[in-house]
Amino acid sequence: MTAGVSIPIFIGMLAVFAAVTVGLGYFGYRNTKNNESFLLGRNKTSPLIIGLSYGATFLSASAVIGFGGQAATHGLSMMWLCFLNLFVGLLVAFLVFGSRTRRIGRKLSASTFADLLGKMYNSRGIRFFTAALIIVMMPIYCAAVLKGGVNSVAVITGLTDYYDVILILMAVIVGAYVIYGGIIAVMYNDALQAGIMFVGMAVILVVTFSALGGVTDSFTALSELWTGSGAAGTLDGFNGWTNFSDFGSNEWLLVVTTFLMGVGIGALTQPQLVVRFMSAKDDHMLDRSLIIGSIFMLVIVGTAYTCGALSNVYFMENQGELSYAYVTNTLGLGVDFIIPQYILEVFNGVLGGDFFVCLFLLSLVCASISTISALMHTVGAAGGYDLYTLAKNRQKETVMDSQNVRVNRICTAVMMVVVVVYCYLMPKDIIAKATSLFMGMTAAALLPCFAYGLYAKHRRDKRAAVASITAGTAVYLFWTLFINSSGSAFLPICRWLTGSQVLFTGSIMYVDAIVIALPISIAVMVITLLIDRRTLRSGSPQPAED
Amino acid sequence: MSFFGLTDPYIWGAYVACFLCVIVCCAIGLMVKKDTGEEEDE
Repeated sequence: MTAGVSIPIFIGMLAVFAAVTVGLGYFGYRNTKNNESFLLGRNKTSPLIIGLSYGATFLSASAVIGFGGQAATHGLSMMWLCFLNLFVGLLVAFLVFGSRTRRIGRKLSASTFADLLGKMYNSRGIRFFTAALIIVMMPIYCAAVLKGGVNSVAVITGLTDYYDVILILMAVIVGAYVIYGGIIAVMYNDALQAGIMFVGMAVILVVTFSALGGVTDSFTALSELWTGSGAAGTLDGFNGWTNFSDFGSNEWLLVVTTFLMGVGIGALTQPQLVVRFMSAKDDHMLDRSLIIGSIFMLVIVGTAYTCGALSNVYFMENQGELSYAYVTNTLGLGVDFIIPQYILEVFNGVLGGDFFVCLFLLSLVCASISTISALMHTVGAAGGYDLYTLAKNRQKETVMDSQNVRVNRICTAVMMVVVVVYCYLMPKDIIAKATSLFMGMTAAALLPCFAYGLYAKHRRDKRAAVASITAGTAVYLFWTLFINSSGSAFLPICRWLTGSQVLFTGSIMYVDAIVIALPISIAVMVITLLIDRRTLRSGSPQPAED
Repeated sequence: MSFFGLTDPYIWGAYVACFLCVIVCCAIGLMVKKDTGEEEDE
């Protein structure tokens, strides 16, 4: 990769950033008086903090470099993901789910997503399953984000020999302020990191359009790159970077079902985001945070996808190759390095270019850290609060939530180590796909029962929730491990059993599991609800509770 | 129809949809009254 980072400037920026981070971590520590403040921190939030924290948690380095790289490959159709992030991930999440989550969470004294679901259905099983799902699946997503951040820092700075040191250092810094400062440190640091990301990405957008001759000229040049024949990294049905792919083609299936639907819908059941709703003092606070959250998301995601696609024009003009071919074939790097490489080259020769490259790098660090910290806090709480509470209650035969902050902290530290181990086990170029996997899995398993639980007018039907969770999980896992080609790359069980990567070849292997699993999960829930309601009306005995 | 050099409505439509979404979010946020009101349970 082209060397272009001023190490002294970057270290200077990093030192100031680290000092402020530590300061905010200490602020969180001073204000963490009990388990409630460690998990929710209700008295220290504001619309600004919630909006920025939600946005920064939602958008990781995955959104910037993972999906930005995918936009360079698959084109501006990825802008629909930006729309879904805004519409589903923000507008629907806040208006349809946010206020009810906050109210019901407060009424039931719930402190985590698993706690909320468990108490809504009065089910220890659902609470256990949700917490276990978080502990098993979330570290994969967390490792993908951490790996993405560290990869970028190491390669852009040329410090690849120090990959291990950077990885451990980043994990220790995040771990330290999450463990001691709890949710207050996480949310305040998120806000700081969101501010840095916003400035960094806004500058990149301006420089991109200015380097390519303005908005209209940039898009026109991108349109003219398409010659009508296939481009490296794309599938059948691709129509260029400024046209949507053919409906139902392999390219369409990959972009729409994996990237758009997997991530777009999955955002609704992100445990770390649900906690943000429960942290708000009132509904008005949630509504006001929409202003900051939406502007922030549009700038970060819109810039990443637009500049990702436009990097093709820049590389074609300067290197004679398209982004995918240049970065993967010529430089031998992965898709996740298209954006970093583009930033390095486009700022070369620009006044203050060194500073802006360092600012971008710091933005990437911030994007990674903000998401990792929220994920680690959620994973730690799932183990140290939910599972610990269930274990204690079972042992003592009581029904009382744990108030032990120390167990939360220990659990967070242990899971941080697990995430670091995952980083070494995961294949490369996996950031965007790992994000889709986690979000898709949580949506398929939990979205129907979460939505129903929030809006049920009468007593919530636990049997329907369990049936929906079971069906969603089973179908999602089966489809991911045996049908979908991207998913089966994670755990090649199908290859071990059958000798081939997937059971069926053809277009079906590009269909993401969420497209199948979520409708089935919804259908199972509706059918069970109808059966139970009819049973109740006919006066038959109620179905057995778990 | 061309929108800043983009001719496919499925692409420029995405940009328009994004901006509309932000406008709606801002409108909702700005319309909220300052007073927090009473805590209302479901």
